[in-house]
Amino acid sequence: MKKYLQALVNFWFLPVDSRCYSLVRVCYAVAAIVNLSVLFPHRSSFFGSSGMVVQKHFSLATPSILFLTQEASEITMLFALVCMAMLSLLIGFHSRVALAICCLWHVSVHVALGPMSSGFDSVLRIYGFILLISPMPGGIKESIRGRERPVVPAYGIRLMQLQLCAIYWCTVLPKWLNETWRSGEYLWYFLNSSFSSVPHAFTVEYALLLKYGTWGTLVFESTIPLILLCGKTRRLGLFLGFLFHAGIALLSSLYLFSVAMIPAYASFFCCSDFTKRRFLPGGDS
Amino acid sequence: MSNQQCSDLPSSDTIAEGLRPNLRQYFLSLFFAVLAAHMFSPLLTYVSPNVLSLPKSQVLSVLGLQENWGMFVEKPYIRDLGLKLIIISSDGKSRYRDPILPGFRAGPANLREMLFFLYRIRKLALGNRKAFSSYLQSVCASIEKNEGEKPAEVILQMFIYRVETLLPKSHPDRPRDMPKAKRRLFRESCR
Repeated sequence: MKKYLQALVNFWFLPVDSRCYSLVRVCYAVAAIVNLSVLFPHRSSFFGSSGMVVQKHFSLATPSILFLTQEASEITMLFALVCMAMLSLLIGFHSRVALAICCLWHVSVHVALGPMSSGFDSVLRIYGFILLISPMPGGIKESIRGRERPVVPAYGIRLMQLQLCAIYWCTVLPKWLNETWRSGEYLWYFLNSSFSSVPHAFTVEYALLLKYGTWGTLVFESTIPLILLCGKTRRLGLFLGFLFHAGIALLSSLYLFSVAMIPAYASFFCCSDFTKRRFLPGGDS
Repeated sequence: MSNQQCSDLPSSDTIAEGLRPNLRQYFLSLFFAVLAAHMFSPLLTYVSPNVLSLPKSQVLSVLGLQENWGMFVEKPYIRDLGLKLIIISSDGKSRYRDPILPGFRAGPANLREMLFFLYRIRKLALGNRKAFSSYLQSVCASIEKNEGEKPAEVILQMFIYRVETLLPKSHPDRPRDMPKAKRRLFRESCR
C-alpha cells in the first residue's frame, strides 16, 4: 500500500521547470483577455438592466459579482478592473491575486449567463481553478532579478494535462455512439448550421472531404491525448492540435474555443522546449 | 507523461529514491487523484447512463467545475433565425423593431446572441411555453423607457430556417414538403 502511495506522490510531486507554469499562466491570461474583449461589446445586452437577460439579485446560492450592479457604467468599470487583473496575470505581477480575480470573474459570468455560457467559458473556468491551486512561480519580478529557475512540483501541470485528455475523451465517446457522426454526415450539418462561417456552396463542393473530416475529427479526438502524453510524439501532437483548432477557428464561429484551448496545450510544453540550445544554430541538440 | 522527458531535471527513479513524502503530500496526492477522477466522471455516465447518474453538486456548480463536454454530439438543425419584434401599442397600432437589446439592433449577429435564442428555443422544445417571457418583458420595459409609453403587447416573430432544407431532394433525411422556414409567434402582454 505504501509503495502505491509513494508512486502516487511521485506522480504528482515530480519536480518540473517553473517556466512550464509561467507559460501556461501567460497563455491563460491571453485567452482570458481575448474572451473578455469579445464579451465587452455585449455587456449591456447580457448584464445591464436594459439588456435581454433579467439578472437575479445576489444570493449565496448563485453568487455572481455581476448581480451586484445593474448600472451600465459600473459594469463597464467591472470589466476594466478584470482586464487589469488579467494584464497583471499576463506579466506575472501579483499573479495569485490576479488569478483569483480572474477565477471569480469566470464563475460570475458562468452564473450570470447560465446556459448561454459555452464550452470555452468552461475551459477557462476549470483551467483557472487548476492554475489557482498550482505552484505560482514569480513572474516579472523574478525575471528582473536574474536567472533564477526554481524547480516546482508537477501536480498542476499533470492536472492540466489530464483535463485536456478528459475534454477530448468525454466529448468523443458520445460522438462514437451517435449515428450522424459514424455515418460521416456531421460536419455537413455543422457547416450549414448557425455555428458555421462558411457558405453553403463550400459544403456542396467538398461533400466527400467533409465526410472524411467527420471521421478524422473522431480519430483526432480519440488519439490526440495519447499522442500528447507520449514523449516521442508530443511535438507532433502540439502541431496536430494547432491544425485542428485553427480549422475550428476558420470554419466556425467557435474561434473562442480554440483560443481557450491554448493554455491546455501549453501545459504539454516541457523544460527542454525552453532550452535555447535546442533552437539556436550551432547548438548541441 | 511528457514532463518526464526533461533531461536537465532529476529522473523519476532518482526522486523515488531521494523523496520522503510527508503526510501533507499524501493527502494532497489523494485530493489530486479525486480531482482527476472527477474530470473523467462523464465517461461513466455515457457508458451506462441508467446505472450511473452522478449527483449534481451545488458546490461544483458554484465553482464552475462541472465537467460537461457533450456539446456538438447531436447534429445542429437550425441554419439561421429571422427575428422581428412586433410592438402593439394601447391604441392597437403595430410597429416593427429589431430584437437585440439595448437599442433594438438587428441580430442575432454573433455567437453569444445566437446562443441566447437557441437556448430559449431548446427550452421551448422541452415544453416550457414561457421560454421567451422574460425577454419579452425586457422588451416592454425598454419600449417604455425609450418611448415613454408602455405597449399593450409585444410579439416576437421568429422564422426558423432548418439545415435539412439544404439537403438534396433525394436524401432520405429530407422531409417532403418542407417549407423554407417555419414561422413561430410568441406573444406577451406588458405588465
